[in-house]
Formats: sequence, C-alpha cells, structure tokens
Amino acid sequence: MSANNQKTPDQHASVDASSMSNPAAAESSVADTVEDPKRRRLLVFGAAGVGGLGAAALALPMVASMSPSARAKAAGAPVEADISKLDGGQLLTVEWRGKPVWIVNRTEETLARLDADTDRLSDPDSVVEMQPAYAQNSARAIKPEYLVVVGICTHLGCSPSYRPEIAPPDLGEQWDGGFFCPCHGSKFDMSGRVYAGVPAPYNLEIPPYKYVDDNTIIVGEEDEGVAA
Amino acid sequence: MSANLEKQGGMLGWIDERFPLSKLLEEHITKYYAPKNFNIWYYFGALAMLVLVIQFVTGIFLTMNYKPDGSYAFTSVEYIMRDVNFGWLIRYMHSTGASMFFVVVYLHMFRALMYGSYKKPRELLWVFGMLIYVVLMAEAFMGYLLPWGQMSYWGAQVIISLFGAIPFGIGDALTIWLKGDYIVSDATLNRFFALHVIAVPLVLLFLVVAHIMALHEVGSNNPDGIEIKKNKNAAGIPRDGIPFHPY
Repeated sequence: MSANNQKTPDQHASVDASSMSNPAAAESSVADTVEDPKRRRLLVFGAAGVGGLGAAALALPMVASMSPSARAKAAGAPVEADISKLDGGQLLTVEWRGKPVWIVNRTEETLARLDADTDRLSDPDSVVEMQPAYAQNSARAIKPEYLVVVGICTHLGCSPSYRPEIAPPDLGEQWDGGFFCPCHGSKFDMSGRVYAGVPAPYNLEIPPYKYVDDNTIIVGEEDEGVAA
Repeated sequence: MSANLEKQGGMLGWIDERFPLSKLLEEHITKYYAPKNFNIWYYFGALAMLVLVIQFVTGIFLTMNYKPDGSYAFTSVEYIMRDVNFGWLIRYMHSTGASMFFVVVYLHMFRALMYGSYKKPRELLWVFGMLIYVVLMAEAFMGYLLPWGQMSYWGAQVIISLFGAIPFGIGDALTIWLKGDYIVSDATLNRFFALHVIAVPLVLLFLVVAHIMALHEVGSNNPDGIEIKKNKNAAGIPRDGIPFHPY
C-alpha cells in the first residue's frame, strides 16, 4: 500500500487540472472542446426531452393509481331512498359516499317561512355553487316539499342537529326552525341556507339527485347521468 | 477544506484509497471549523439531527408491529402499547419525539431569525431549511393519522379539506385524489403509511444532507456576525474556529 499519487499514463484522459496544462492530453479530452455548440445544445435538450417524456409516461400510472379504485367507486355508487313513508316535518338520513344525506319533508307552513326573513341569511339566493343548477331556488330543491341536503356543516365538517321547532328556549326567539351545528354554533334555515354572522361560510351542500318516481329519490345521480 | 490530508496506513488507508472516508470525516466533522463564539442557540441544529435519528430508529421498530389497515390499525397500536415489550416506550419516544422535533426546529429557526443567519451568503441554506420545515409538517400530519383514532381521523379530514378551498373544481378533485376515496378511508390510511414511512423520510433525508452541505460550504453564522473563513492562518485554518462541532 505505498502512497502512489502519480497518475499512470492511461489516466490522463480524465478531466483534471493536469490535462489542462498538457496540450496533448487536452486534445484527447472529449468534454473540453465542443466542435459545434448548436449541435451539442440540440443533443442535450433532445436527450433531456426524451428522458422527461419517459419519466412523465412512467409517472402517469402512479398518479392515476392514487385516484379512487373500482372498489371505492362501487362503494360510492348512487343511493336510492324510499320517501313514501316520510311525513311532514320528518327527516330521513341515507348514507352516500360516507356522508349523511338528509331528506326532509317540509310542510306548507315551513315553505312559507323560507322567503319571509331572508335578510338574516348570508346567501339567500344560493349564489355560491353549493347546489346543482336545478336546486338554485329558495327551496333549494327539485320539488319544494322535499329538501335533499348533505348533513355536514360547511365550517369544519360536523353534522348539525335538525331543529325544526320554532323559537325553542335554547336557540332563542329568532329561531325559525332549521339546522344548528353544536360544534361552533353555525345556524342554517330549513333550506340549509346559512345565517350571517356564524362560522360556516356557505350554505349546506345539495348533492346531485333525481326522482325515479314520486316516492323514490336517487342520490348521486342526475338526469344528465351519474355524478362525477 | 483541509488540503493537508495525512495518509493513513492499515485498514483506514486501504479504505481511503477506494472511498474518501477520512476526507469526509475531516471535512465535515473533525476538521470542520465552527466559530468559537457560538452560544447555546447553536446547539439546536445538531439536536434536530439527533431527534431525526431517534425518529428513524423508533419508527423502524414501530413498523414491525403496526398494521396499516382500517380494521387493524387501532388495535395494532393498542397491541404495541400493551403487549409488545417496551412498545409503549418506543411509541411514546416516537410521538413525543415528533413534538420535540418541532420545538427544536422552532428554536433553530428563531436563532436564524435573531442573528440574521438567512442573509447572504446563507440564503439557500435558509431555503433548504424552510423546505425541511414544510416536509416535516407533512410527515408529522401523515403520522398523526396512523393510530386511526377519532383525533387522527378528523384531523386528517379537516386538513385534507383545506385543499378543497382551491376553486374551479380543482379542490374537490384534488381532495378525492388525495384520499383515494370519497371519504377518509382505508385507502387514505394505507397511502399515508406508505408516504410516512418511506417517501417523505427519503425527501427529508435528501434535504437534510443538502442543508448541511450548504452550511459547510458557507460556514456557520455566529452572534457577532463574523465570517470566520475570511481570517485564516498560514495553514488555511480559520483563526476564530474550533473543529468538531458540537464541541
């Protein structure tokens, strides 16, 4: 193991300081001289481009594999609900994509109150797209008497309580019936429209749905087809 | 840095002819000169590395008993806490270690702000540090889901929902892609496990190496802001430096 730092003759082709000072070595060095810089640039960019395309093609299946699988999609399929036994004022919960979806049978009196006191609402005309276009009305529904709404607060995802009674002691005299979120006190009216001045920023979400017949609702499917 | 590398005999000499072992050790540890006027604030970088090693080691032993499955995750954590020998210790070291990691990193960052360690020529060093901070938060967040308890689950739900705030339908599509389902589910747990135990740690390790290489290139700042590399003796050793940090 003698410390021999001298380069053997066949090593001088590598690029280092010694080859710079040696004209013969510099001539044989590939990296030092570029005959045609344009051609070199084209080759460099060409090689990088082809390599990049290959990497992108390889990344595509990886990225796609992170989207919901066929099994997850099947579990998130549209859900059918029978509303024939739902009386006025009653609420039915169905599960769609792991979320509670409420179907509420609203009475005539309830519907009459929807347009009465809209000043206190944050978005009375449902301008923010929290509903499909066919539910952008004061009842936020296809048929006014049946409200179909995702029962998750738009603030931080708690499930609000259904409080249809008028002016109960705990919610005060202003309460016209609606949904109250116990987590941070967000309030929604009987159309799931949020009141101004509460933590929740938007109205409750209306899922895509359609009527199969008068007594059956499918949540997650629209007339235009299955929701994405 | 130290050009006057002495030739070693024996085993070390044999290795040095094939791998720059002595060179690496001298450049980065035994003959890496750090300013002599360091105060206590300058310990937190080395301490952060210590915590990183603790996280790696305890993490490896936790994966030996943890099951990343929606049906078994919570019970496997209970099993670690109750039945595995010293499992409670390893898990508490890992979870408390994660919190301590942030304590140490925040003190490290505060030091940098206080003494202007982010200024020229250390801008890139600071940027690497900030990247480490972001990646560290992602790592901690994904680890938090793994016990699959109520806090884990809803924490993941809320943080993933943050991405839903991106407008034009991108946010909703992005959250579904991140979750791999329409809700936080087994698919989410499984991928968070994969990212937590291999993907993100690899990125973190790469960034830490880059951070240290950048530091050793420009040298440490110090409370007086003296660039020790500007004042060297005849042998090329900084006059105001002491090797082998933390000495």
